[in-house]
This record gives sequence, C-alpha cells and structure tokens, in this order.
Amino acid sequence: MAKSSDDEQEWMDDLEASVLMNDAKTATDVLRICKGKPINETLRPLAWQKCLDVSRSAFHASLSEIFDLPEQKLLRLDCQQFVAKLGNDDEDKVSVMSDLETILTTYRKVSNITYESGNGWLELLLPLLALKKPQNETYPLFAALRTLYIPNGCGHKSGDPFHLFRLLLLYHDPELCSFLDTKKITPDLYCRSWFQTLFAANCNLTVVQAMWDVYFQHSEPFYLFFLSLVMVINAKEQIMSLENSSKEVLVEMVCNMPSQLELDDVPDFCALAHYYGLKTPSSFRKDLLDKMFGDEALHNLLHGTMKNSSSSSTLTSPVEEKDLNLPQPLSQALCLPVCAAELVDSVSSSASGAPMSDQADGLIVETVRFFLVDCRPAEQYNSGHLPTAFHLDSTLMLQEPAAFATAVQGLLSARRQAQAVGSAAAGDHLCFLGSGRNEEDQYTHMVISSFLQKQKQHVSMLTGGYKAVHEYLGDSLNENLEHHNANSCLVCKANTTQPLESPQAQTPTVDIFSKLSAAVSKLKTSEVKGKLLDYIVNPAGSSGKPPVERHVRANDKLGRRYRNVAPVFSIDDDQEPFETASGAGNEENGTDDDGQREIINISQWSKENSITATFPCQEYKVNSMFYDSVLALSETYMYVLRLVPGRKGHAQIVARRSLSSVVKITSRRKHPNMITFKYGVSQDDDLVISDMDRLLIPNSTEAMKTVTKQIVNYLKTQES
Amino acid sequence: MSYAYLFKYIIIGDTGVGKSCLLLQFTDKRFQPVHDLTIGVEFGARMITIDGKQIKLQIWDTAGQEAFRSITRSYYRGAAGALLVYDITRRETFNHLTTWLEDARQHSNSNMVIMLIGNKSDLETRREVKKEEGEAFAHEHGLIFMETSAKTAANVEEAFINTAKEIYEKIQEGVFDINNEANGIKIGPQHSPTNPNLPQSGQGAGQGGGCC
Repeated sequence: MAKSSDDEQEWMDDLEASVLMNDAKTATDVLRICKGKPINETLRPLAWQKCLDVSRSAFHASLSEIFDLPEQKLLRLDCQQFVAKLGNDDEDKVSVMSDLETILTTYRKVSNITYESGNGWLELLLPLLALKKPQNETYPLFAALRTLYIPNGCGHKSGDPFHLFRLLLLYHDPELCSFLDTKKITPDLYCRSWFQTLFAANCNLTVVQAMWDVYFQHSEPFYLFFLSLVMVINAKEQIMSLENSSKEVLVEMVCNMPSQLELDDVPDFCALAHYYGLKTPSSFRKDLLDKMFGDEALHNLLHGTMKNSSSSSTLTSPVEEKDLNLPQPLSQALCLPVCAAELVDSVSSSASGAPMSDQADGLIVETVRFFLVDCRPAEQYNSGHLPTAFHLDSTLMLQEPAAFATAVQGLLSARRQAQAVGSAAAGDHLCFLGSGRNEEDQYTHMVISSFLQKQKQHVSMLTGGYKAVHEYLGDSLNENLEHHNANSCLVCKANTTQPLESPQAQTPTVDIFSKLSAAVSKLKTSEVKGKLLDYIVNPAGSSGKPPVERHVRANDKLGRRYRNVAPVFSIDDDQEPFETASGAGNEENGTDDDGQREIINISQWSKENSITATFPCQEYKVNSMFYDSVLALSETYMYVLRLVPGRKGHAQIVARRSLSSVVKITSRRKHPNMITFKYGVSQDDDLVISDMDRLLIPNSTEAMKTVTKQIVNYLKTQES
Repeated sequence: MSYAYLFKYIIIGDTGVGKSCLLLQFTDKRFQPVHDLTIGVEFGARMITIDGKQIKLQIWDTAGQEAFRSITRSYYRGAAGALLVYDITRRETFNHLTTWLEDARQHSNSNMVIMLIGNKSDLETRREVKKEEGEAFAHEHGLIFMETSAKTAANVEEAFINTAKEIYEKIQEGVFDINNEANGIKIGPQHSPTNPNLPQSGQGAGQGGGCC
C-alpha cells in the first residue's frame, strides 16, 4: 500500500527497542532493523558488537599489562607519533596512548602476528576507540575486525588480495586496468592502506563510521574489494587524464581518493559497491574465503608465510606451491576464474526462467548471467557441450585471422540478439571454456587474451574447462549436455571405468535461434553477411534459422559503459543522456526490455490512453544517469515516458505499471523530490518487491498527492 | 597463401624490453612508441622466403610480467624458435637471462633454436650492457646473438630471418622431425618442392601480418 515517505525515525526506534530487548543476535538481525543504513551514534557500539559477533570466545583475551614485545619500542614510538597527530589535549593523549599500546600489544601476543610500522593496526583501531568503550570491550572488536574483514596477505606487495583486486578491475574496466598495468602501477601501491584499515587511514572519522555501519551489517568480507573498485573506477577520468604524469603522482592521487569522500556520499558509494558485487561472478569468493579471511597466523603456519611463498619479480616460479582449491594460483590467472558449479547453476536457473534478482537496498539488479563461449576444437564440441554454449573455434585465430574476426563479430552480435529476446543463452558476462587440457587451452588463452587486449568487459574463464563441467555434472550428463557422445567425448574416453552411454542422447534444447530469428525478422538492415555462420556453431542450430541479418544499434558498442557515467558521488549533477534513443542503461532494469521501444507523440497518446495527469520529471538509473521524462497517470496505470531529445512532444514508454502493483512510495529525506516507487505483491505479511522506478520530480508534494489519490481511487473501484 | 613450411616462434624476455614492438616492426613495419602492456599472449604472422622457399612464421608474443609466467610456459612446447630479448639500457633485464633460459630449456623441445636479442640499440647513450657481454653470453650458452632496434628497424628482419635460416638448416640436416608438430614445424598444405615460380628471394615480402 502506498505509504508516505520518511520512515527513518521509525526504524531508528525499532533498533533502539530491539537492541534494548537484546533481540538482535547477528549481523543479519541488525541488517533487518537498520536496513543497511548508517546507525546513530548511541546505538553504534552495540550494533557493531552484534555485527562483529564479539561474543565469540576467539576474540576475547585478558589484556596484557606487560609490554615486553621484541618490537615494543617500535610499537610505542608509532603509537606516540600517531597520537601526536590526532591533536587531542594532553590528558586525552595519555589515555589514548595507553589504549592503543595495550590493545595492540595484546593482539600481537594473542595472534602471533608481528607488528610492523604502517601495517594499519593503529588506523584500524582508532574508529573503535572513538566508540569510547572500555579497553576490554574494544579489544574483541579489534580482534574480530582484523580476523573477519582484513584480508590476509596485505602485508606483501604480491599478496593475493592485490591479485584479486587487479582481476576484478580487469573484469569491470579492462581499459583502466591496462592503463595502470602499462604504467606499472600495481594495486598494492594504492590500495594497501585501504585494505589494511578498511579505509580508516584514508577517510575522515565520520565517513569511516557511516561506511562501517553499512559494511558490518552486510557482513560480506569481499565488500572491501568492491568499495575499492568503485573508488578506482570512479576516478577513471581523472586517472587517465594524468597520462603523462609520473607514476608517483598517479599513485598518490589514486591513494588519496577516499579522502574526498563525504558523509553524504556514503550511501551511494556503498550501494554502488553492492551493485558491482552483484555484477561479478561469485566463484572467487568460495575459492578464497578461507584463505583470505580468518586466522592469519594459523594460515601462515599451514601454508608457509606469504613472504616465502611469493617473493615476486624473480623468475623462480611460485607454481610449485600448489593450492588445492585453485588449479592455478591467483597471481597467474589470466582473467577472473569461474567455477563449473556457478556456470552450470547459472545456466540451469536462467533456463528454468527463475528470476535472478537481488532486492537488497531496494535495487533490482539482475545477477550475473553468462554468455558461454566454447573454444574447443569442433570435434570436441560436437561430442558434448552445454546447451547454451556458443562455439568459437580458437584455432581459426591462427589460421585465418580475418575469419576469426568475423566470427567474433558474429558472436557478439548473437549475444546482443540473445539478450534482446531474453534467451537463456543470453548474458552480459562472457565466460570462456577450454578443454582443460594444455594442448587446446593454449589457444583458449590466446583467444581470451585477444578479448582482453581489445578491452572487452566482463571476461571470465571457466576453471578446469569442459573437463570440470563434465565432472561437476557427474551422472546427469545426458540431461545437461547436448550431443553428448560417450564414444568420442575425451573426458569419457579418459574415464574408461565408466560404462559407455548411448550416443546422441536426446535432450530438451534451449531453442535460442528460433527465438532469435523471431527477433531478427523485426530487424531490417543486413550487416554481417552469411559467412559468420560457418564459424559459429550454435547449440540449437538445427532447429532454427540463424540470424544472418542484424541491425546495428547505438548501444551495440561494448566496453564503454562507464565512460559517460556521471561521477558517482555527485548524484545531483545532471548528465547529458547518452544513447537515449536506443534505451541505454537497460541492463539493470528488467522492464526496459530490448531497446526497441516505440516512439509516441505524447499528446496524442495521452488522449488514446485516457491520461488524467502528467508531471515532468527525470528518471534516475542505477548507473547515475538521469533521463528527462514524464510521469503520466491514467485511472489504472502509471507510465514513465522518456523524452526523445530533439523531438519535442515525443517520448518512449519506459515503464507501464498497474496502480495495483505499487506497494511502496518513498522519498529521500535529503532529496525530497527524489521519489522511489516500488512494485510488487504482498505475500502474507511480507512485501515481495519485483521492480522499482526512481524519479526526480520537481514539486513532488503536488505530484504525490495526485498519485496517491489515484491509487486509492483505483483500489476502491477494484474492491467494489 | 601457400607455404612450404610453417615455423612457430615464441618471443620471451622481461617486461618492457620491446618484445611486442619487435613483432610489430617485423609484421607491420611500424613502431609504436607507447605500447600497452601485453596481456597473456598475442600473435602475429608473416611470410618470408629462404632458399627460394616460402616460409610462414607464426609468432607468439608473450607477456613479460611474472603474473603471466605460467601461461607463457605453455607456449614453449611446440615452438621451433625463440627470441630471447633483453634491453641494452637496463642491466637487470640482462641479468635475468639465465632464468629465462632455464625456463625455456626446461619447457621446450631440445632442438629449439634460440636467438638472443639485445634490443633498443638506438639508445646508445643510455647503454648499460656492452655488446661484447651479449656476445659472450650467447657464445657460452650456444645461442645466436644480435642487437636490434625495434624503433629504427635495425636488424629486426635479420633477427627473425636468421632464426628461420638456422631452423631451416637443422631441417636439412635432419635434426628436426618435421612430421611431429610438437617441434613447431609444419609442412605446407600444397608443398611442391619443384615449383619454379619463385618470388623475390632474400628479404621476405611483408605478407600476412594478421596481427590480432
């Protein structure tokens, strides 16, 4: 039901009550109460304690009164210098000094991690001291924070966290990654202190507190990486404009980026990080969680210390150090790895039509969907492949570069077509699949390299290749693979113990091309001539006519999504809409189906659809774009019309919402004209939100009155 | 384009020594002063003529960074020739040659022809490694040696072609088993040894060049 805006006070009261009743037990409880927003000062200490789960005995220790570390002198000196910089009065200085040294000395003894200057402990502890809790309560918070959220291996420049960060940057912004790589600016140079202190060393205290509020509620250790990613990508233009500056200047500039964050930016900053998190394949989390988070000292003991294992820049290979979880060490990965489980599950869930969305933060974001590219030789592909796999013969790249280029073009256009019709094979994320054998995978690597070199976004590779998929599927090969032929399948042949299965198992196919050709018939011009079909084999190729025609659209171009995006921290900045006519930004909203929207004449359309009221507004998208729009109301529907630039009185219908589906209307306290409409159904007592629009409506009070009235009227007529 | 033989090369060496620029100069006859870091591996091809025979060179240009080392290793096998490149203006790139060589010898077939290249010979004023040192190293390890400049194109043709000649001689001597593709040599599809219509000999006519 339509509800008026500000319920902030309400949830704040909830929290207070809840905390007082000691209801909240875990971060999830706190998240439910605080909805991922910053927490007020009086409640913060308790909320953090709940989120960090400090009741765990592992985080408790009796504080050390004896300062006898081998590096005690160093620690004390650093504490003194740190306190001196804080600029408190003398009395405070003494107490802060004592808190710092006691807690850090204790932590040093308990964890058995040696203190080193600049390892971030001091900065990390400061926001906790600001909670003004006694030492014995602050210590567990510090221990928990270090264990749960600071990635292991940050101490070394070739630590895994930095390799992971580079891969994530490469995944989301290959252009920027290549720029930094070429400048020899490795992530450890700029984000070490971000990682070691969760930004505490770089941001001012109020910002850190607000950020940590959100952070701890989500209790997602890898969130740090996405916050950092947003930070760097946000500074892209600035970074790239310094092309001729020295490495040192660039490093310093990037490193100090977080200091520009202001309190108001925190919600947007966090929301964006969350968005990037959802738009990233998640396999690496499972692979790395145990290794990167948890008891560092214990980990070092088990796996040899970071320093010994990967002293870089020498040629002695770190390959000897085999990790059981990852077939290849992270430092040697060409691109982001995806495991067979994630790929296969993603394929099957999108084929079954299950909605893949995440409703945290009220943002409806489709999670990762793969466009699978099978790079194995044709005969291997023909002996079994995943139903959604497109075949791209990687040996072509060597033998016929021109043909290969055509094939790649065709592949990318097939991807767009598949996306346009919402096929199960569609996906924004390219996942390359090799055979899992070195003979063929060197070609697969080459193909992937060429995509990366061309700065294609969202490129990943399946760990272990086809072999891994085969193994993951186990006994259900025939249900999940197409054209699987046990007699010619290399994996089956290698596994002679398995009984041979009947060749050419019939499986239900996901009929991409019949859907595609339906879409193609709508399109007009012919761009790529038939040839590409010789190189791209489609899984369902036999069942439908493949698309030899395609229509070039303005959003065809890949890999430039960030370029025209407004600076993320300046939501108020208006921005020239780009590629408006083709419906840019449709990747994050399910209602913007295919960029093929009809252009209407507003006044004529309004008559035809009995529009009762219109309000000029701007539609705001997750990617920080604003579109000049009109909110139109009829007795049963509400519409968002996006104005067509240069054609006065014309617009595209971006959204049509039944008034009965509006379940929530909210506004931001700071921006009362920013109205969020949420749609969905109520099931039992819960609201299931299926979609939303966010509009900036000048004079929103007036508009909201009319909208609410209309909804109430509509519901009345429904009831009667 | 038909060819008598196809030779597979790999270019290796520290990051920033000019591997990609050498390849670009050889395949496209141009120099790019600012070159993006190679990711993983790149590929280029060109046709040359040796002893009146068309030979296609298929060249794999690898990334010098430590991060791509395991990928680089997978390309040694199946290469007939390797260009091991260092930068004459950076001593450390010369110092790393031993480890590169060990790596190459360990992962390649034993007959692989290795050409040692001291690149950036145009930067004489900034030279840190003497030509004699390069020669001595090559002599000690049984390599062919040349100093080149990808910028001025000095000796670039020669480096690639001399390597090919060496491989070709080994084929004539019967050292290479040309029927085993793992040696990085392939016989052309319509190889007719008695074709009289020979194109200009010596320097190859810049064919192919399908650099991706």
